Amino acid sequence: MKTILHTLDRGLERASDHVTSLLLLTIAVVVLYSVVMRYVFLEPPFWTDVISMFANMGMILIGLSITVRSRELIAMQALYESISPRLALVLDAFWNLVILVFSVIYSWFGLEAALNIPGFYWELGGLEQKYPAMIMPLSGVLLIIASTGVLVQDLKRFRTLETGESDGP
Amino acid sequence: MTAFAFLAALIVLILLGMPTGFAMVVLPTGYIAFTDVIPLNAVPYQMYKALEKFPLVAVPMFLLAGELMNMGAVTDRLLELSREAVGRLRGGLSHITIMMSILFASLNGSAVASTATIGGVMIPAMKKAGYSPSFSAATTAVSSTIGGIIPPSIAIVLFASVTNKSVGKLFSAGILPGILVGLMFMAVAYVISRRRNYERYEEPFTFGALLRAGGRSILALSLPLILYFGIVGGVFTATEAGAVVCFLAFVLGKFVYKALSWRDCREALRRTVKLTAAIFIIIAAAGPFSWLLTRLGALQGLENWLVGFKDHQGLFLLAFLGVILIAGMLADIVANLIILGPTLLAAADKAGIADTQAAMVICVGFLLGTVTPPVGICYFAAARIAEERLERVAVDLLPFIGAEVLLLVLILMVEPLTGFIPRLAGF
Repeated sequence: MKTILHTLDRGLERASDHVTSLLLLTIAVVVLYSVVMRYVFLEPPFWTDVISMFANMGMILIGLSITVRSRELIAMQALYESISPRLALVLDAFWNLVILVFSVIYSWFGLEAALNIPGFYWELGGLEQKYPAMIMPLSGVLLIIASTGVLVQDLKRFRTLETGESDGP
Repeated sequence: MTAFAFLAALIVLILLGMPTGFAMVVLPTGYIAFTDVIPLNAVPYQMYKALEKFPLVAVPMFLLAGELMNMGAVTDRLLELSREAVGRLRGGLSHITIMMSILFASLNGSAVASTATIGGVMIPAMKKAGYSPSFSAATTAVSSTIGGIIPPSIAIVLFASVTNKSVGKLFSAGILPGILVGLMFMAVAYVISRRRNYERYEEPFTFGALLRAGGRSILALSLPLILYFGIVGGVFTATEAGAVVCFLAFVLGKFVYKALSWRDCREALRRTVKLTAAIFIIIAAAGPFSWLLTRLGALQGLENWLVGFKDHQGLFLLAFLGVILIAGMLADIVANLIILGPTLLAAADKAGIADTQAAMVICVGFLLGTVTPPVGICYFAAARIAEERLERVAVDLLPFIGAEVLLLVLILMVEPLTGFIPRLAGF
Protein backbone atom coordinates (compact mmCIF):
# COMPACT_ATOMS: atom_id res chain seq x y z
CA MET A 1 0.00 0.00 0.00
CA LYS A 2 2.82 2.33 1.02
CA THR A 3 4.67 1.60 -2.24
CA ILE A 4 1.57 2.21 -4.35
CA LEU A 5 0.97 5.57 -2.66
CA HIS A 6 4.62 6.50 -3.10
CA THR A 7 4.54 5.55 -6.80
CA LEU A 8 1.32 7.53 -7.33
CA ASP A 9 2.82 10.52 -5.55
CA ARG A 10 5.98 10.41 -7.68
CA GLY A 11 3.88 10.02 -10.81
CA LEU A 12 1.79 13.05 -9.88
CA GLU A 13 4.91 15.07 -9.12
CA ARG A 14 6.40 14.25 -12.52
CA ALA A 15 3.13 14.93 -14.31
CA SER A 16 2.82 18.35 -12.60
CA ASP A 17 6.41 19.06 -13.51
CA HIS A 18 5.85 18.25 -17.20
CA VAL A 19 2.51 20.06 -17.40
CA THR A 20 3.83 23.28 -15.83
CA SER A 21 6.93 23.31 -18.05
CA LEU A 22 4.69 22.78 -21.06
CA LEU A 23 2.41 25.63 -19.95
CA LEU A 24 5.40 27.97 -19.59
CA LEU A 25 6.59 26.97 -23.05
CA THR A 26 3.06 27.52 -24.36
CA ILE A 27 3.07 31.10 -23.04
CA ALA A 28 6.35 31.87 -24.80
CA VAL A 29 5.24 30.25 -28.07
CA VAL A 30 1.75 31.79 -28.11
CA VAL A 31 3.06 35.30 -27.33
CA LEU A 32 5.79 34.97 -29.98
CA TYR A 33 3.20 33.71 -32.45
CA SER A 34 1.09 36.84 -31.85
CA VAL A 35 4.14 39.09 -32.45
CA VAL A 36 5.00 37.28 -35.69
CA MET A 37 1.39 37.34 -36.90
CA ARG A 38 1.11 41.05 -36.17
CA TYR A 39 4.35 42.21 -37.79
CA VAL A 40 4.99 39.62 -40.49
CA PHE A 41 1.50 38.63 -41.63
CA LEU A 42 -0.30 41.81 -40.43
CA GLU A 43 -3.03 39.62 -38.92
CA PRO A 44 -2.89 39.92 -35.13
CA PRO A 45 -4.74 37.02 -33.51
CA PHE A 46 -7.36 37.99 -30.90
CA TRP A 47 -7.14 34.88 -28.72
CA THR A 48 -3.45 34.86 -27.73
CA ASP A 49 -3.73 37.18 -24.70
CA VAL A 50 -6.44 35.06 -23.08
CA ILE A 51 -4.67 31.78 -23.82
CA SER A 52 -1.33 33.01 -22.45
CA MET A 53 -3.06 34.42 -19.37
CA PHE A 54 -4.75 31.06 -18.66
CA ALA A 55 -1.52 29.18 -19.32
CA ASN A 56 0.16 31.49 -16.80
CA MET A 57 -2.58 30.96 -14.21
CA GLY A 58 -2.50 27.21 -14.74
CA MET A 59 1.28 27.13 -14.47
CA ILE A 60 1.19 29.13 -11.23
CA LEU A 61 -1.63 27.24 -9.54
CA ILE A 62 -0.28 23.80 -10.48
CA GLY A 63 3.30 24.97 -9.89
CA LEU A 64 2.35 25.98 -6.37
CA SER A 65 2.06 22.32 -5.36
CA ILE A 66 5.57 21.69 -6.80
CA THR A 67 6.94 24.63 -4.82
CA VAL A 68 5.27 23.37 -1.62
CA ARG A 69 6.67 19.89 -2.26
CA SER A 70 10.21 21.19 -2.82
CA ARG A 71 9.84 23.57 0.17
CA GLU A 72 10.81 26.59 -1.94
CA LEU A 73 8.08 28.98 -0.83
CA ILE A 74 9.27 32.47 0.11
CA ALA A 75 9.60 32.47 3.90
CA MET A 76 11.77 33.97 6.63
CA GLN A 77 14.40 31.47 7.75
CA ALA A 78 16.26 33.56 10.33
CA LEU A 79 14.39 32.12 13.32
CA TYR A 80 15.12 28.56 12.22
CA GLU A 81 18.85 29.21 12.53
CA SER A 82 18.59 30.25 16.16
CA ILE A 83 16.36 27.48 17.55
CA SER A 84 16.94 23.78 18.08
CA PRO A 85 16.49 21.44 15.08
CA ARG A 86 13.62 19.70 16.87
CA LEU A 87 11.73 22.97 17.45
CA ALA A 88 12.45 24.07 13.88
CA LEU A 89 10.99 20.81 12.63
CA VAL A 90 7.89 21.21 14.82
CA LEU A 91 7.38 24.73 13.53
CA ASP A 92 7.90 23.62 9.94
CA ALA A 93 5.42 20.77 10.37
CA PHE A 94 2.90 23.17 11.92
CA TRP A 95 3.07 25.53 8.92
CA ASN A 96 2.64 22.56 6.59
CA LEU A 97 -0.41 21.52 8.62
CA VAL A 98 -1.82 25.05 8.25
CA ILE A 99 -1.20 24.87 4.50
CA LEU A 100 -2.96 21.49 4.39
CA VAL A 101 -6.02 22.85 6.24
CA PHE A 102 -6.09 25.92 4.00
CA SER A 103 -5.79 23.68 0.91
CA VAL A 104 -8.90 21.74 1.97
CA ILE A 105 -10.85 25.00 2.41
CA TYR A 106 -9.42 26.37 -0.83
CA SER A 107 -10.35 23.34 -2.93
CA TRP A 108 -13.88 23.05 -1.49
CA PHE A 109 -14.76 26.72 -1.70
CA GLY A 110 -12.74 27.09 -4.90
CA LEU A 111 -15.11 24.60 -6.55
CA GLU A 112 -18.07 26.58 -5.23
CA ALA A 113 -16.52 29.85 -6.49
CA ALA A 114 -15.74 28.37 -9.92
CA LEU A 115 -19.27 27.04 -10.38
CA ASN A 116 -20.72 30.48 -9.58
CA ILE A 117 -18.55 32.51 -11.97
CA PRO A 118 -20.89 33.97 -14.59
CA GLY A 119 -20.14 35.00 -18.18
CA PHE A 120 -18.15 33.58 -21.06
CA TYR A 121 -15.07 34.34 -23.18
CA TRP A 122 -15.93 35.52 -26.68
CA GLU A 123 -12.25 35.08 -27.64
CA LEU A 124 -12.53 31.36 -26.98
CA GLY A 125 -15.73 30.69 -28.90
CA GLY A 126 -18.08 31.49 -26.02
CA LEU A 127 -16.39 29.23 -23.47
CA GLU A 128 -18.08 29.68 -20.08
CA GLN A 129 -15.81 31.40 -17.55
CA LYS A 130 -16.47 28.72 -14.95
CA TYR A 131 -14.53 26.07 -16.90
CA PRO A 132 -11.07 27.69 -16.82
CA ALA A 133 -11.81 28.61 -13.18
CA MET A 134 -11.93 24.88 -12.37
CA ILE A 135 -8.15 25.22 -12.02
CA MET A 136 -8.95 26.46 -8.46
CA PRO A 137 -10.31 23.17 -7.06
CA LEU A 138 -7.79 21.20 -9.13
CA SER A 139 -4.85 23.13 -7.71
CA GLY A 140 -6.45 22.82 -4.25
CA VAL A 141 -6.44 19.02 -4.56
CA LEU A 142 -2.82 19.04 -5.77
CA LEU A 143 -1.94 21.27 -2.81
CA ILE A 144 -3.65 18.85 -0.40
CA ILE A 145 -1.58 15.97 -1.79
CA ALA A 146 1.66 18.00 -1.77
CA SER A 147 1.20 19.36 1.75
CA THR A 148 0.22 15.90 3.05
CA GLY A 149 3.41 14.57 1.47
CA VAL A 150 5.66 17.16 3.13
CA LEU A 151 3.84 16.67 6.43
CA VAL A 152 4.55 12.92 6.27
CA GLN A 153 8.19 13.75 5.49
CA ASP A 154 8.28 16.07 8.51
CA LEU A 155 6.93 13.32 10.76
CA LYS A 156 9.53 10.88 9.41
CA ARG A 157 12.31 13.43 9.98
CA PHE A 158 10.99 14.04 13.48
CA ARG A 159 11.03 10.31 14.21
CA THR A 160 14.60 10.05 12.84
CA LEU A 161 15.64 12.97 15.03
CA GLU A 162 14.04 11.35 18.07
CA THR A 163 15.72 8.00 17.34
CA GLY A 164 19.04 9.71 16.65
CA GLU A 165 18.90 11.56 19.96
CA SER A 166 17.90 8.51 22.01
CA ASP A 167 20.68 6.47 20.35
CA GLY A 168 23.24 9.14 21.04
CA PRO A 169 25.70 9.18 23.94
CA MET B 1 -7.40 48.95 15.77
CA THR B 2 -8.49 45.62 14.28
CA ALA B 3 -6.46 46.42 11.16
CA PHE B 4 -3.35 46.96 13.29
CA ALA B 5 -4.00 43.65 15.05
CA PHE B 6 -4.14 41.88 11.67
CA LEU B 7 -0.99 43.61 10.45
CA ALA B 8 0.79 42.69 13.69
CA ALA B 9 -0.44 39.09 13.32
CA LEU B 10 0.89 39.00 9.74
CA ILE B 11 4.30 40.25 10.82
CA VAL B 12 4.46 37.73 13.68
CA LEU B 13 3.52 34.85 11.36
CA ILE B 14 6.15 35.93 8.82
CA LEU B 15 8.82 36.30 11.51
CA LEU B 16 7.92 32.84 12.82
CA GLY B 17 8.78 31.45 9.40
CA MET B 18 5.34 30.85 7.90
CA PRO B 19 5.50 31.13 4.10
CA THR B 20 4.56 34.76 3.33
CA GLY B 21 1.86 33.99 0.77
CA PHE B 22 0.05 31.57 3.04
CA ALA B 23 0.37 33.91 6.05
CA MET B 24 -1.38 36.58 3.96
CA VAL B 25 -4.24 34.35 2.90
CA VAL B 26 -4.85 32.52 6.17
CA LEU B 27 -5.71 35.76 8.02
CA PRO B 28 -8.58 36.90 5.75
CA THR B 29 -9.80 33.29 5.58
CA GLY B 30 -9.95 33.19 9.38
CA TYR B 31 -11.64 36.60 9.52
CA ILE B 32 -14.34 35.59 7.04
CA ALA B 33 -14.85 32.18 8.68
CA PHE B 34 -15.40 33.74 12.11
CA THR B 35 -17.35 36.87 11.16
CA ASP B 36 -19.35 35.42 8.27
CA VAL B 37 -19.42 38.84 6.55
CA ILE B 38 -19.22 37.30 3.08
CA PRO B 39 -19.21 33.71 1.80
CA LEU B 40 -15.90 31.92 2.22
CA ASN B 41 -15.69 31.26 -1.53
CA ALA B 42 -14.69 34.93 -1.86
CA VAL B 43 -11.13 33.95 -0.80
CA PRO B 44 -10.33 31.59 -3.73
CA TYR B 45 -12.29 33.89 -6.05
CA GLN B 46 -10.21 36.94 -5.09
CA MET B 47 -6.99 34.91 -5.40
CA TYR B 48 -8.08 33.83 -8.89
CA LYS B 49 -9.00 37.38 -9.91
CA ALA B 50 -5.67 38.71 -8.60
CA LEU B 51 -3.90 36.41 -11.08
CA GLU B 52 -6.26 37.01 -14.01
CA LYS B 53 -4.21 39.88 -15.50
CA PHE B 54 -2.41 39.72 -18.82
CA PRO B 55 0.46 42.13 -17.87
CA LEU B 56 1.52 39.67 -15.15
CA VAL B 57 2.46 37.16 -17.86
CA ALA B 58 5.58 39.31 -18.39
CA VAL B 59 7.04 38.14 -15.07
CA PRO B 60 7.66 34.46 -15.96
CA MET B 61 8.96 35.58 -19.36
CA PHE B 62 11.60 37.84 -17.75
CA LEU B 63 12.52 35.12 -15.26
CA LEU B 64 12.87 32.53 -18.02
CA ALA B 65 15.01 34.89 -20.12
CA GLY B 66 17.27 35.43 -17.08
CA GLU B 67 17.58 31.68 -16.47
CA LEU B 68 18.44 31.00 -20.12
CA MET B 69 21.03 33.80 -20.15
CA ASN B 70 22.55 32.58 -16.94
CA MET B 71 22.86 29.01 -18.18
CA GLY B 72 24.11 30.22 -21.55
CA ALA B 73 27.52 31.36 -20.21
CA VAL B 74 26.56 35.03 -20.18
CA THR B 75 27.67 35.47 -16.57
CA ASP B 76 31.29 34.63 -17.45
CA ARG B 77 31.31 37.21 -20.24
CA LEU B 78 29.86 39.90 -17.98
CA LEU B 79 32.50 39.07 -15.36
CA GLU B 80 35.28 39.51 -17.93
CA LEU B 81 33.85 42.82 -19.16
CA SER B 82 33.38 44.16 -15.60
CA ARG B 83 36.93 43.17 -14.66
CA GLU B 84 38.39 45.00 -17.64
CA ALA B 85 36.24 48.08 -17.02
CA VAL B 86 36.42 48.62 -13.24
CA GLY B 87 38.65 45.90 -11.78
CA ARG B 88 41.67 48.20 -11.47
CA LEU B 89 40.05 50.45 -8.86
CA ARG B 90 40.96 49.80 -5.23
CA GLY B 91 38.62 47.02 -4.08
CA GLY B 92 38.39 45.81 -7.68
CA LEU B 93 36.29 42.72 -7.00
CA SER B 94 33.64 44.73 -5.14
CA HIS B 95 33.36 47.10 -8.12
CA ILE B 96 33.14 44.11 -10.44
CA THR B 97 30.30 42.75 -8.29
CA ILE B 98 28.43 46.07 -8.50
CA MET B 99 28.98 46.47 -12.23
CA MET B 100 27.94 42.87 -12.83
CA SER B 101 24.77 43.56 -10.88
CA ILE B 102 24.00 46.53 -13.13
CA LEU B 103 24.62 44.44 -16.27
CA PHE B 104 22.87 41.35 -14.90
CA ALA B 105 19.95 43.53 -13.76
CA SER B 106 19.41 44.57 -17.32
CA LEU B 107 19.06 40.91 -18.27
CA ASN B 108 17.06 39.51 -15.39
CA GLY B 109 15.23 42.04 -13.24
CA SER B 110 15.04 40.01 -10.04
CA ALA B 111 17.04 41.06 -6.97
CA VAL B 112 17.01 37.58 -5.42
CA ALA B 113 18.14 35.96 -8.67
CA SER B 114 20.98 38.51 -8.89
CA THR B 115 22.10 37.77 -5.32
CA ALA B 116 22.09 34.03 -5.89
CA THR B 117 23.78 34.14 -9.29
CA ILE B 118 26.37 36.86 -8.74
CA GLY B 119 26.91 35.95 -5.09
CA GLY B 120 27.62 32.35 -6.05
CA VAL B 121 30.46 33.51 -8.32
CA MET B 122 31.75 36.65 -6.60
CA ILE B 123 31.52 36.00 -2.84
CA PRO B 124 33.91 33.00 -2.86
CA ALA B 125 36.26 34.96 -5.17
CA MET B 126 36.19 38.01 -2.87
CA LYS B 127 36.80 35.92 0.23
CA LYS B 128 39.73 34.22 -1.48
CA ALA B 129 41.21 37.63 -2.39
CA GLY B 130 41.18 38.72 1.25
CA TYR B 131 37.90 40.64 1.51
CA SER B 132 36.00 40.07 4.74
CA PRO B 133 33.04 37.69 4.28
CA SER B 134 30.70 40.33 5.72
CA PHE B 135 31.81 42.99 3.21
CA SER B 136 31.57 40.46 0.35
CA ALA B 137 28.02 39.54 1.38
CA ALA B 138 26.99 43.16 1.96
CA THR B 139 28.29 44.31 -1.45
CA THR B 140 26.55 41.47 -3.26
CA ALA B 141 23.25 41.82 -1.41
CA VAL B 142 22.93 45.57 -1.75
CA SER B 143 24.04 45.73 -5.38
CA SER B 144 21.38 43.16 -6.28
CA THR B 145 18.72 45.79 -5.52
CA ILE B 146 19.84 47.56 -8.70
CA GLY B 147 18.09 44.67 -10.47
CA GLY B 148 14.77 46.02 -9.27
CA ILE B 149 15.47 49.54 -10.53
CA ILE B 150 17.12 49.18 -13.94
CA PRO B 151 14.80 47.85 -16.68
CA PRO B 152 13.55 45.17 -17.11
CA SER B 153 12.56 45.20 -13.44
CA ILE B 154 9.99 42.68 -12.23
CA ALA B 155 9.14 45.02 -9.33
CA ILE B 156 8.27 47.75 -11.84
CA VAL B 157 6.17 45.38 -13.97
CA LEU B 158 4.17 44.36 -10.89
CA PHE B 159 3.79 47.95 -9.74
CA ALA B 160 2.69 49.13 -13.18
CA SER B 161 0.20 46.27 -13.36
CA VAL B 162 -1.53 47.12 -10.04
CA THR B 163 -1.52 50.88 -10.59
CA ASN B 164 -2.41 50.85 -14.32
CA LYS B 165 0.71 52.84 -15.21
CA SER B 166 2.76 52.46 -18.38
CA VAL B 167 5.52 49.87 -18.00
CA GLY B 168 7.61 51.71 -20.59
CA LYS B 169 7.32 55.00 -18.73
CA LEU B 170 8.33 53.46 -15.40
CA PHE B 171 11.16 51.50 -17.03
CA SER B 172 12.43 54.80 -18.46
CA ALA B 173 12.15 56.42 -15.04
CA GLY B 174 14.36 53.72 -13.51
CA ILE B 175 17.39 54.16 -15.77
CA LEU B 176 19.07 57.22 -14.19
CA PRO B 177 18.38 56.24 -10.55
CA GLY B 178 19.70 52.74 -11.31
CA ILE B 179 22.96 54.03 -12.77
CA LEU B 180 23.30 56.65 -10.03
CA VAL B 181 22.85 54.16 -7.20
CA GLY B 182 25.42 51.88 -8.88
CA LEU B 183 27.95 54.75 -8.88
CA MET B 184 27.10 55.57 -5.25
CA PHE B 185 27.69 51.96 -4.23
CA MET B 186 31.02 51.98 -6.06
CA ALA B 187 32.03 55.15 -4.22
CA VAL B 188 31.15 53.55 -0.86
CA ALA B 189 33.02 50.35 -1.80
CA TYR B 190 36.06 52.40 -2.88
CA VAL B 191 36.23 54.30 0.42
CA ILE B 192 35.91 51.12 2.49
CA SER B 193 38.42 49.26 0.29
CA ARG B 194 41.00 52.02 0.63
CA ARG B 195 40.60 52.04 4.40
CA ARG B 196 40.91 48.24 4.60
CA ASN B 197 43.57 48.10 1.87
CA TYR B 198 41.71 45.58 -0.27
CA GLU B 199 43.22 44.34 -3.55
CA ARG B 200 42.83 45.56 -7.11
CA TYR B 201 43.34 43.92 -10.53
CA GLU B 202 47.04 44.51 -11.22
CA GLU B 203 47.33 43.79 -14.97
CA PRO B 204 47.92 47.00 -16.96
CA PHE B 205 44.88 48.47 -18.70
CA THR B 206 44.65 48.16 -22.48
CA PHE B 207 41.83 49.35 -24.71
CA GLY B 208 42.25 46.18 -26.75
CA ALA B 209 41.39 43.93 -23.79
CA LEU B 210 38.39 46.10 -22.91
CA LEU B 211 37.14 46.06 -26.51
CA ARG B 212 37.64 42.29 -26.75
CA ALA B 213 35.64 41.77 -23.53
CA GLY B 214 32.98 44.17 -24.79
CA GLY B 215 32.81 42.34 -28.10
CA ARG B 216 32.32 38.99 -26.37
CA SER B 217 29.39 40.41 -24.37
CA ILE B 218 27.84 42.66 -26.98
CA LEU B 219 25.15 40.24 -28.15
CA ALA B 220 24.06 39.49 -24.59
CA LEU B 221 23.99 43.19 -23.72
CA SER B 222 21.95 44.02 -26.80
CA LEU B 223 19.01 41.94 -25.52
CA PRO B 224 17.95 44.41 -22.80
CA LEU B 225 18.21 47.21 -25.34
CA ILE B 226 15.87 45.34 -27.71
CA LEU B 227 13.53 44.81 -24.78
CA TYR B 228 13.63 48.41 -23.56
CA PHE B 229 13.35 50.12 -26.94
CA GLY B 230 10.73 47.58 -28.03
CA ILE B 231 8.52 48.50 -25.08
CA VAL B 232 9.21 52.24 -25.09
CA GLY B 233 8.81 52.44 -28.87
CA GLY B 234 5.41 50.78 -28.64
CA VAL B 235 6.57 47.82 -30.74
CA PHE B 236 5.89 45.26 -28.00
CA THR B 237 3.96 45.03 -24.77
CA ALA B 238 6.11 44.07 -21.77
CA THR B 239 4.90 40.45 -22.08
CA GLU B 240 5.70 40.29 -25.79
CA ALA B 241 9.12 41.83 -25.18
CA GLY B 242 9.75 39.17 -22.52
CA ALA B 243 8.83 36.36 -24.94
CA VAL B 244 11.00 37.83 -27.71
CA VAL B 245 13.97 38.12 -25.35
CA CYS B 246 13.39 34.53 -24.16
CA PHE B 247 13.58 33.37 -27.77
CA LEU B 248 16.71 35.44 -28.48
CA ALA B 249 18.35 34.27 -25.23
CA PHE B 250 17.66 30.69 -26.29
CA VAL B 251 19.12 31.24 -29.77
CA LEU B 252 22.14 33.04 -28.30
CA GLY B 253 22.87 30.40 -25.65
CA LYS B 254 22.14 27.40 -27.87
CA PHE B 255 23.44 28.35 -31.30
CA VAL B 256 25.81 31.32 -30.89
CA TYR B 257 27.56 30.71 -27.56
CA LYS B 258 26.84 26.95 -27.80
CA ALA B 259 26.70 26.74 -24.02
CA LEU B 260 23.05 25.75 -23.56
CA SER B 261 22.11 22.07 -23.68
CA TRP B 262 18.54 20.76 -23.94
CA ARG B 263 18.90 19.59 -20.36
CA ASP B 264 19.77 23.18 -19.38
CA CYS B 265 16.65 24.44 -21.18
CA ARG B 266 14.51 21.91 -19.31
CA GLU B 267 16.12 22.96 -16.03
CA ALA B 268 15.54 26.64 -16.86
CA LEU B 269 11.84 25.91 -17.40
CA ARG B 270 11.58 24.01 -14.11
CA ARG B 271 13.38 26.69 -12.11
CA THR B 272 11.25 29.41 -13.66
CA VAL B 273 8.03 27.55 -12.78
CA LYS B 274 9.08 27.20 -9.14
CA LEU B 275 10.22 30.79 -8.79
CA THR B 276 7.11 32.10 -10.55
CA ALA B 277 4.81 30.05 -8.31
CA ALA B 278 6.67 31.21 -5.19
CA ILE B 279 6.24 34.87 -6.24
CA PHE B 280 2.68 34.56 -7.52
CA ILE B 281 1.23 32.92 -4.40
CA ILE B 282 2.01 36.24 -2.73
CA ILE B 283 0.33 38.14 -5.57
CA ALA B 284 -2.72 35.87 -5.34
CA ALA B 285 -2.84 36.16 -1.54
CA ALA B 286 -2.60 39.94 -1.79
CA GLY B 287 -6.13 39.86 -3.29
CA PRO B 288 -7.95 38.66 -0.13
CA PHE B 289 -5.51 40.45 2.19
CA SER B 290 -6.08 43.80 0.43
CA TRP B 291 -9.81 43.14 0.68
CA LEU B 292 -9.42 42.62 4.43
CA LEU B 293 -7.40 45.82 4.91
CA THR B 294 -9.86 47.79 2.78
CA ARG B 295 -12.81 46.42 4.74
CA LEU B 296 -11.16 47.39 8.01
CA GLY B 297 -10.43 50.85 6.59
CA ALA B 298 -6.66 50.50 6.98
CA LEU B 299 -5.64 51.46 3.44
CA GLN B 300 -7.98 54.46 3.31
CA GLY B 301 -6.80 55.43 6.80
CA LEU B 302 -3.16 55.30 5.69
CA GLU B 303 -3.91 57.42 2.62
CA ASN B 304 -5.83 59.99 4.69
CA TRP B 305 -3.04 60.13 7.26
CA LEU B 306 -0.42 60.78 4.59
CA VAL B 307 -2.56 63.29 2.71
CA GLY B 308 -3.02 65.13 6.03
CA PHE B 309 0.63 66.26 5.70
CA LYS B 310 0.31 67.49 2.12
CA ASP B 311 0.45 71.18 3.08
CA HIS B 312 3.80 70.62 4.80
CA GLN B 313 5.94 69.15 2.02
CA GLY B 314 8.83 68.22 4.34
CA LEU B 315 6.60 66.36 6.77
CA PHE B 316 4.79 64.60 3.95
CA LEU B 317 8.06 63.36 2.42
CA LEU B 318 9.25 62.21 5.84
CA ALA B 319 6.02 60.31 6.52
CA PHE B 320 5.94 58.93 2.97
CA LEU B 321 9.52 57.65 3.15
CA GLY B 322 8.98 56.41 6.71
CA VAL B 323 5.97 54.29 5.76
CA ILE B 324 7.80 52.81 2.75
CA LEU B 325 10.97 51.99 4.68
CA ILE B 326 9.14 50.50 7.67
CA ALA B 327 6.79 48.47 5.46
CA GLY B 328 9.79 47.36 3.38
CA MET B 329 11.52 46.10 6.52
CA LEU B 330 8.47 44.20 7.74
CA ALA B 331 6.95 42.55 4.69
CA ASP B 332 7.91 41.03 1.39
CA ILE B 333 8.43 43.40 -1.56
CA VAL B 334 5.78 41.73 -3.75
CA ALA B 335 3.16 41.99 -1.00
CA ASN B 336 4.09 45.60 -0.30
CA LEU B 337 3.98 46.63 -3.96
CA ILE B 338 0.57 45.10 -4.52
CA ILE B 339 -1.13 46.02 -1.25
CA LEU B 340 0.43 49.37 -0.36
CA GLY B 341 1.65 50.50 -3.80
CA PRO B 342 -1.66 51.91 -5.13
CA THR B 343 -2.48 53.62 -1.80
CA LEU B 344 0.95 55.28 -1.56
CA LEU B 345 0.81 56.38 -5.19
CA ALA B 346 -2.64 57.92 -4.65
CA ALA B 347 -1.39 59.80 -1.57
CA ALA B 348 1.68 61.07 -3.46
CA ASP B 349 -0.54 62.19 -6.33
CA LYS B 350 -2.70 64.23 -3.94
CA ALA B 351 0.45 65.78 -2.46
CA GLY B 352 1.51 66.89 -5.95
CA ILE B 353 4.42 64.48 -6.48
CA ALA B 354 4.96 63.31 -10.07
CA ASP B 355 3.94 59.69 -10.68
CA THR B 356 7.41 58.66 -11.90
CA GLN B 357 9.05 60.11 -8.76
CA ALA B 358 6.55 58.45 -6.45
CA ALA B 359 6.72 55.13 -8.31
CA MET B 360 10.53 55.03 -8.14
CA VAL B 361 10.61 55.95 -4.44
CA ILE B 362 8.05 53.23 -3.71
CA CYS B 363 9.89 50.57 -5.74
CA VAL B 364 13.40 51.49 -4.50
CA GLY B 365 12.18 51.89 -0.90
CA PHE B 366 10.53 48.48 -0.88
CA LEU B 367 13.58 46.97 -2.60
CA LEU B 368 15.69 48.25 0.28
CA GLY B 369 13.64 45.92 2.45
CA THR B 370 15.19 42.96 0.63
CA VAL B 371 18.57 43.79 2.21
CA THR B 372 17.46 44.84 5.69
CA PRO B 373 16.63 42.64 8.64
CA PRO B 374 14.28 41.10 9.66
CA VAL B 375 12.80 39.95 6.33
CA GLY B 376 15.52 40.86 3.81
CA ILE B 377 15.67 37.91 1.46
CA CYS B 378 18.84 39.07 -0.39
CA TYR B 379 20.52 39.83 2.94
CA PHE B 380 19.94 36.28 4.16
CA ALA B 381 20.88 34.73 0.82
CA ALA B 382 24.19 36.64 0.63
CA ALA B 383 25.05 35.97 4.29
CA ARG B 384 24.39 32.28 3.72
CA ILE B 385 26.61 32.14 0.61
CA ALA B 386 29.38 33.99 2.50
CA GLU B 387 28.88 31.76 5.58
CA GLU B 388 28.97 34.86 7.77
CA ARG B 389 27.03 35.89 10.86
CA LEU B 390 24.00 38.04 10.07
CA GLU B 391 24.87 40.87 12.46
CA ARG B 392 28.34 41.33 10.90
CA VAL B 393 26.82 41.54 7.43
CA ALA B 394 24.27 44.05 8.79
CA VAL B 395 27.07 46.33 10.03
CA ASP B 396 28.83 46.29 6.64
CA LEU B 397 25.52 46.94 4.92
CA LEU B 398 24.93 50.22 6.78
CA PRO B 399 26.99 52.57 4.55
CA PHE B 400 25.41 51.08 1.42
CA ILE B 401 21.92 51.43 2.88
CA GLY B 402 22.78 55.05 3.72
CA ALA B 403 23.65 55.60 0.05
CA GLU B 404 20.35 54.07 -1.08
CA VAL B 405 18.36 56.23 1.36
CA LEU B 406 20.23 59.24 -0.05
CA LEU B 407 19.10 58.13 -3.50
CA LEU B 408 15.47 58.07 -2.29
CA VAL B 409 15.82 61.64 -1.03
CA LEU B 410 17.44 62.70 -4.33
CA ILE B 411 14.62 61.12 -6.34
CA LEU B 412 12.10 63.10 -4.30
CA MET B 413 14.07 66.35 -4.51
CA VAL B 414 15.32 66.23 -8.11
CA GLU B 415 12.39 65.52 -10.44
CA PRO B 416 14.45 65.21 -13.68
CA LEU B 417 16.20 62.19 -12.21
CA THR B 418 13.05 60.16 -12.89
CA GLY B 419 11.26 62.49 -15.29
CA PHE B 420 13.92 63.35 -17.87
CA ILE B 421 14.21 60.04 -19.74
CA PRO B 422 10.43 59.34 -19.78
CA ARG B 423 9.92 62.81 -21.33
CA LEU B 424 12.73 62.12 -23.80
CA ALA B 425 11.02 58.85 -24.71
CA GLY B 426 7.77 60.71 -25.36
CA PHE B 427 5.75 59.77 -22.25
